[in-house]
Amino acid sequence: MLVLSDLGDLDHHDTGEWHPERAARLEAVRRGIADALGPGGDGVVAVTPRAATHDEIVRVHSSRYVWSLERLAADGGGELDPDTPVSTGSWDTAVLAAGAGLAVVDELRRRGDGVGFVAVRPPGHHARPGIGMGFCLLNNVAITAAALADLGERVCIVDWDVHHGNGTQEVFWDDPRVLYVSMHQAPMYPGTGRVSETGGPGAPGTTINFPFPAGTTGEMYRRAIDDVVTDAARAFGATWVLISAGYDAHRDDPLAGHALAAGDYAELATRVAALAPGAGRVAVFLEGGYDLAAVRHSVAATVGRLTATYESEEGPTHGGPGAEAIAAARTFRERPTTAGPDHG
Amino acid sequence: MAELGHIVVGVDGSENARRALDWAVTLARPAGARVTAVHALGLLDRVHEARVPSASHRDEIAEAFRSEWCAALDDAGVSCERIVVDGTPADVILATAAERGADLVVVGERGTNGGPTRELGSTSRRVLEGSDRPVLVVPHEAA
Repeated sequence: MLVLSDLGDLDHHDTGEWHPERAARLEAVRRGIADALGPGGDGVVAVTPRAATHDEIVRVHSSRYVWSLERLAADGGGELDPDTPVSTGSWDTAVLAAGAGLAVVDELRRRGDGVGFVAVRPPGHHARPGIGMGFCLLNNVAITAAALADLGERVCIVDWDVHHGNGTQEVFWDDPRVLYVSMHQAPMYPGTGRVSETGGPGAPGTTINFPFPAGTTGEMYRRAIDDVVTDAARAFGATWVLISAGYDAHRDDPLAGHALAAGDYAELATRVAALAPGAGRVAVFLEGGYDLAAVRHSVAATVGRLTATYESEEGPTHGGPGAEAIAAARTFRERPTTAGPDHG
Repeated sequence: MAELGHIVVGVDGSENARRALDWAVTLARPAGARVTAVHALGLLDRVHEARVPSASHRDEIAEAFRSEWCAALDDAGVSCERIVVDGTPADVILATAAERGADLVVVGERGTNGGPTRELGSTSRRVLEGSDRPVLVVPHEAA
């Protein structure tokens, strides 16, 4: 069973015709889900996105930033940075994107079964407490993780977007209730996510980064989970697993240089879902991914594997560089530091 | 009296950034100050009027930055360096200024996304708000 929240006609975040983070991405996601579950949507429980409340958003973001973002949209829009446009509809869309994850988790908790999929934009994992960036306005996965943590849950976030989720890392840097894991390309935007970044003094070892070089295949992503993350999540005692599912590590993506295929996301989904202690405790959040066909096939592979309905024709990839990052992450697991990035 | 020993200037290939670099050199030369020109590699960039993904054009962007966008440094007669850093422009400029102990930060009013308007761009506004050292914002009309 797939508990799905899809923005649908509620998406009014206009980034302009040239921008790769565009509304057509959600249509690609819908097609991918249909590929996996059939055009009739058998096995889908549709959850209407709801707006996240101010109190839910400020668990993660500063009131000042929330106010300024709402004001910017209301005043006709603009940009947070050269990558990140804001349109008049961006605020309403962003709070729905943030609330969609909360609605999915509420439904999963009620049912005690199924897997969640949060098909929303703008993405969220670059959004820092005090400012959005990198196409992201509000940090959708962090807002849901913070809500779960306040309910007493221990949340593992696995971020397989090709860019480091600097915003999510910053939100939970010193929070021992959340384990944040990122596999990403480096060097690349946003410049954070070194293997030495392992959590703040109040939460040592609760951040794990795998900065992989260009050309990395799915094998290294799988090995990162098998060799490091599985034991870390078990030691952490994760009770929920949230996936920051960017699909821009796919070999066809125009914004990055990793070499995954759709089938790799099926393998990753299997492994990451297994980190949860039982059914109804896994939710997938759409992050990046800018080649529409790659997004469609990769979403189909993810959803198909998680619901046991579909297998991708694109098999998993093997070989390539990246083993050094896994070895280094393992070393830092044994000797965590609190030396981190400048979150200022 | 404050001394001007190091200037950090943000450069993105825009006309405003070229003016900002000119001002940085103009101020640095008589003071004997060092100039650090910095370009932030975001998710997207603009090279030769085309919007491009930064990751797949890293070398091309770095070459344009060093040879074209920073051409004013070539025979400026000032000590200088040119660096490219991954990140959001305001964050990169502020971090570079802090790391190098800059005495002054210089930015254009608006970057490659901005036209000839008097409104501050997102980068110049955030640098002004976030800087703990003097900032010079060079307006579009400045010559």
